Amino acid sequence: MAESQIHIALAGNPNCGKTTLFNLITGQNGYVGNWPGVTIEKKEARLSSDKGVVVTDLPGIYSLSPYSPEEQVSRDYLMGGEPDVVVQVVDATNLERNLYLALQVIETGLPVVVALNMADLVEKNGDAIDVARLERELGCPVVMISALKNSGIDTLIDEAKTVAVAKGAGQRHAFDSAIEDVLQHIEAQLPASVAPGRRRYYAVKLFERDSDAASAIKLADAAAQRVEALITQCEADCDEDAESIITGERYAVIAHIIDECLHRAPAKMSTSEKIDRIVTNRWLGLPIFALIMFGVYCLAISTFGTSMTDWVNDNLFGDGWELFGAAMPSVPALFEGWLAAAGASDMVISLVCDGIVAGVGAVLGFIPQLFVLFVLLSFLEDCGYMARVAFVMDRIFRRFGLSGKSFIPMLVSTGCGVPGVLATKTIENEKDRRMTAMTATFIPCGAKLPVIALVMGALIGDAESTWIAPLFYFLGVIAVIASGIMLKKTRLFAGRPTPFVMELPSYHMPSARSWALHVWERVSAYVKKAFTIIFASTIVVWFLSNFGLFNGAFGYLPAMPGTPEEFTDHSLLASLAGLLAWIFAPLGFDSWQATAMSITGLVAKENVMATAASLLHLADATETDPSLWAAFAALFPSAGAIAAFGAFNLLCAPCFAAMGTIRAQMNSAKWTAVALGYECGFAWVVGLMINQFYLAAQGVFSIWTAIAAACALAILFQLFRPMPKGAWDDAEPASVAAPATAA
Amino acid sequence: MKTLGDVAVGDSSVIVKLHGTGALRRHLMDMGLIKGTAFKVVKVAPLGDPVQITVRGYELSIRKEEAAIVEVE
Amino acid sequence: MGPVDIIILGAVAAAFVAVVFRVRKKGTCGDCSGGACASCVSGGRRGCPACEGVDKVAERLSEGMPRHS
Repeated sequence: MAESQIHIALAGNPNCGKTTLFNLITGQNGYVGNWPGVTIEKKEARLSSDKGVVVTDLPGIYSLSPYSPEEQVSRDYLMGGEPDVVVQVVDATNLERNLYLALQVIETGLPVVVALNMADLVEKNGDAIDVARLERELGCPVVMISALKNSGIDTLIDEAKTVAVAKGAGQRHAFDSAIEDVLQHIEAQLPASVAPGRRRYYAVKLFERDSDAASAIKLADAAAQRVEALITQCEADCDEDAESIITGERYAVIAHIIDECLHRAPAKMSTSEKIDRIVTNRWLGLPIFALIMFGVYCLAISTFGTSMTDWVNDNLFGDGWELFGAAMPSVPALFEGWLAAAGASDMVISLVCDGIVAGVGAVLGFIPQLFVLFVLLSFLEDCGYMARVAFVMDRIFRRFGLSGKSFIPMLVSTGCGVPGVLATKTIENEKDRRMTAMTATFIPCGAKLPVIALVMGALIGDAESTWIAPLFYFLGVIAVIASGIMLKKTRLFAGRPTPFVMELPSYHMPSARSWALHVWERVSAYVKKAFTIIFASTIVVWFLSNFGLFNGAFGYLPAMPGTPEEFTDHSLLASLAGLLAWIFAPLGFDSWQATAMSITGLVAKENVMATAASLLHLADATETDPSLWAAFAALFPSAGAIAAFGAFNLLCAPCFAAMGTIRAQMNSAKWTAVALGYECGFAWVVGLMINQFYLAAQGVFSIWTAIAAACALAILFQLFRPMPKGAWDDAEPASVAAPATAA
Repeated sequence: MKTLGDVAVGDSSVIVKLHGTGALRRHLMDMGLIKGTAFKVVKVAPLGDPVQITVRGYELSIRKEEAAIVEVE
Repeated sequence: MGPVDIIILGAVAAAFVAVVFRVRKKGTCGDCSGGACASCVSGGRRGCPACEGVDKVAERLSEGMPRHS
């Protein structure tokens, strides 16, 4: 690393606009959401205006206590010696709480520049902040900025560079004289190895009885005893514990600063409060949530999105289309024409058209629907509604011991299960983290959208039936809740509910730029997948479904003498899938095609659609104009089997990427197996129940009807039986929850 | 002992003391809930829990169970 | 098999191999441009916090710093 490099660390509360600032100054387009804990990891990038400056975006935190993973990450980075300057981002509309972290960062002795973000909003509210006075009080430079409106940023960066080069730590705020006295005595006990700039920080941390800090500086036994005596004496004098004393002192300093520097306009009811009056209303809260999600899926999948996707599938990849009255050939026809003209053989034409173009095309055909879905979901996430959902739903989650914090990974999973599973790492409790990682992927992600659309199309044909798509979303939500309740009653996951103390950030209109970026990020990921993993999969599927044994000879089936029209029945894929088809027989879809779709779906869920398109395309070659939906539906004996197929594929183990992430998150082969096994087992049982109960309603009974009924009873029993005795006793009560483990 | 969970919706009160030890207590303090802090219970969630309070100029959601360690006037 | 067939098959094969390599390097998911996916687990790729897990990241960040276990 070059000597001249400057390292800037961005620290601040969750939701203070830190990541927006980071994206702005580094030209990155990382993800910004409006709920606590979006940045789980630190991110690093170079300043776009000066490549010699490395900026690190730390997770949003409220404090430098050692109790949560995010706080540990930030603290370790700050104290690790790398940053030359800390830019402390402060939400100027909420100075009081934001300054609490700022004071702690200043206490570390690192050079600090305070960025007062959202300056525009302060002005709009009619408040005024005396910046010069604030600089004096905090002892470090303060810059008014607005990351959203891109104002004050250059000044901030110049200031940060200056401070970084000067290496000057500002003077520190002083606590009450009695406390200062004790802190000085503690400082005197610190070993000489602790650098002068850090002595104050460690003194405060020792006073707080912070075990991390204590072990970091390895205090001699005698000194440790003297320090403990000092603390105990002080606690007795103040009639409070050391942690409370320090926290109280910090807030006292803040109260003084606020008095001096902030001139508030008379308070009026904010827009946020007005929205919240309705959205988290005691009676309307839950119906509104259901209605919003219903609306999102209806709009994206059933109405607007479908007409777009249908057009793409039927015209662009189907029968050709018209442009200003002129007949345009469809994409497969175009390719077929080119290849035939170039003199390619039938096999190559089949590979390109029936294999690659049909498969990848079918997946790409869903971009319009996906686009609509992500536009809506991104808005909900960025505007701050999702934190309200956690508030509204918390009571349900608490029933099975999860906190609203577990809700966030599930919301993220509506886009993609991978970041969803990743988001579980903010959950301190290990059992909860595992359970959330196991269940989060039940929520239908973007890649499952084609599956939903396929099943829906097959179930209802061309008729408009808007309620099917939202139904599959709620199936996911119900699967999460039911699984949570059932699992919590097993010994593996028993434990007290985790505490849930969460800030409800103000609503804000996401900036068009970040909204567009967010949608683009997700759609482009989908496109990327279509041209990589789906592309490769279609080639494999094409090969497996066109090559096989016929009359004792192995080869390209259509070219072999005497192969029937349904040649794919003799293919390798048919044989392989046929071996596993018995698993799905009770679910009603034992055709090898449906089995093959489910299996390829494990690679990536879009493959269900791609494989369907490829297989049906081959079968279609001889028929005239069968729509994909009808051909797909023909693979199943009944509507119940189609629904069971949909349910199984939505709930079973997610794609390779998500499975890998679950494995990384669980960090244990056993737990990964438990998670994936549970997901597949649960999916199978749900599929079984759907199919068998559908058949039973038609008057068809078998041994499987009884088994399905037994499964249903077992699930109901596990759902409604009381929490087993002693399930919560072995865990510590919530009020003394164990600190996060960092081993 | 009256706790934060006992305060009726719409009422304001002042924190007297935080009971217990450990992460939750520290987290509440870090969020600004300390001795002498005034707050207002704004609303209760549709299913009766958690409650939303306004404290130090921002909105905080807290469960009644956790609110039980916060003694109020 | 004509020359056209061989050219097309060759192109498809090359694309296939390229994809396989990309998947080995970056995983099957296109979601994270940094490549925070399945295959980086086995390779233990640095810079992929997804696979590293928060505990390891915390450990890495505190490298060279005195710290408890």
